[in-house]
Amino acid sequence: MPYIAEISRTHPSCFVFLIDQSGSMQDPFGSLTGTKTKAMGVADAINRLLQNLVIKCTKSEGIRNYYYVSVIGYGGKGVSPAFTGALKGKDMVPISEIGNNPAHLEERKRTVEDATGNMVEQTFKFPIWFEPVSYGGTPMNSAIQKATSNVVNWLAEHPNCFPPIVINISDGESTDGDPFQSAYDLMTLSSSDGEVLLFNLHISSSNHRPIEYPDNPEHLPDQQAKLLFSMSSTLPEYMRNMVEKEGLNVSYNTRGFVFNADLVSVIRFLDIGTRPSNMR
Amino acid sequence: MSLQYEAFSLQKKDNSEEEYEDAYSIKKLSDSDSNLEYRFSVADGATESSFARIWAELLTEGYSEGSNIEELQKKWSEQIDSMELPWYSKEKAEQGAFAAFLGVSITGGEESDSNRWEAMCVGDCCMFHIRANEIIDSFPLKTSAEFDNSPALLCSKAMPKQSVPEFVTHKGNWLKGDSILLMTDAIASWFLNRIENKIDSIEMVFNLTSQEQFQELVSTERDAKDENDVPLLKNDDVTIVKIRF
Repeated sequence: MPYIAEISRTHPSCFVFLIDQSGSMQDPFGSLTGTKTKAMGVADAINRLLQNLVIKCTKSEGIRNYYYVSVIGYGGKGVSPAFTGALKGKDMVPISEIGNNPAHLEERKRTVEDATGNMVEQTFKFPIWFEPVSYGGTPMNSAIQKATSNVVNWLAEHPNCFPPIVINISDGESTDGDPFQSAYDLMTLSSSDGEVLLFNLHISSSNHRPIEYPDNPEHLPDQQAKLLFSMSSTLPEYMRNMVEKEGLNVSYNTRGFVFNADLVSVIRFLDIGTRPSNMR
Repeated sequence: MSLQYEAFSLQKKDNSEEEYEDAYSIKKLSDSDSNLEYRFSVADGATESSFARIWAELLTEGYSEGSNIEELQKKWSEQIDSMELPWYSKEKAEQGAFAAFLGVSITGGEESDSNRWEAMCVGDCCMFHIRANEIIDSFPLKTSAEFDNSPALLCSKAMPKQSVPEFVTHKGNWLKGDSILLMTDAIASWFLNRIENKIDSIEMVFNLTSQEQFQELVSTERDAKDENDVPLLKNDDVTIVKIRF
């Protein structure tokens, strides 16, 4: 029965994020004419994923190191750890260090529903670790190989951990060869608790409606989406159940792939103890 | 006619004592032959939320004192607002703390039919009414299969009505010699599961007379595995309140 290993400070797991910082990310995001670029989409996605992961690991006394996280950028400068500031050059960072070292905090506003059902505006601090970057080619193949090497090192030290999760955020236009074989090699690594999970978040200029967790590549809008789908892991049973609870149709072939959509749900799926069903 | 009670608690393995997020409270309002009145409660702060221990303690103490939930939510917010917090703790607190809760009020008098208990709960804390070494009532869950990881729980922040779980209530009569056990989820699930497997966990719990014995039992059962290699007792905070009439 895989994917049941406890995630705790004494049994941490790991995340590797791969972020596409290539020149094609200058193109508009979600439409051919919009003002938001794909690079902005990538920066927003990784900042939100990290914010959610930090909050997930936050307890009364601070952030518990349930996860170690690596963020690898790939673009014109090759493949390298992507953090800036205090975390610059670091390959595998405990989640508490990430939470305590955003590049800066941005004041944002949001609308929330209060107890009486009224919508009220609220200000809050949003952490920024990554700014949009777009330059040069897209060495996705090498980036996946780098993720594989980080995961291999992690598994050597944590052979029984909850399987590492790798999330690739990209427009899918690899310029250093077909990344399928590298992705396959990564997805077939495993801890004693199950295979490594590789998920893909496709950031595209297409104005096709967002797609979440498909189980079939047929209706995907383009070749890049089909490629990223083919190199995404099928969801383990418990994640599939959670996706189904969120109202999506699932099957045994449902994959960890989303197209111009939100992948923050993956963080919600992580099980570190009792989660109330009415917690949002 | 006085009743006897004792409580045992232990934090999750590998956690420190300060990280224990269950709570219990025992309140004696009256204990004479003609008028017996007690309030007992347990609460279990959810691991995924923060400041859950404060919330679990407020709920159990609030039950003893007869406070309403809005007052307790206000107290929780005041405590959190008085702290200087980094961005992530603020965001986490914004989601509220969550806890399961079960309280039982026990009354008794000289008339035998006045010996009653009334329980109320939200979530998966459980109570068991035991007579002659048999469970004669189990509330709100009756089998170990009913426990899952995501019950609806009481939130320390006011929520839209549709997300607020209702209290479930139950009541019964007690006789001299009966016992009532209150337990938080992990130990309650273990307790039922052992009985389902013909192991006398009632006896095991009744035999506990010290915290040391309790710790030993918990540690043995956490290490023991079933045929699917799943620990008999899930690694979680554990709390038992034993009441004997």
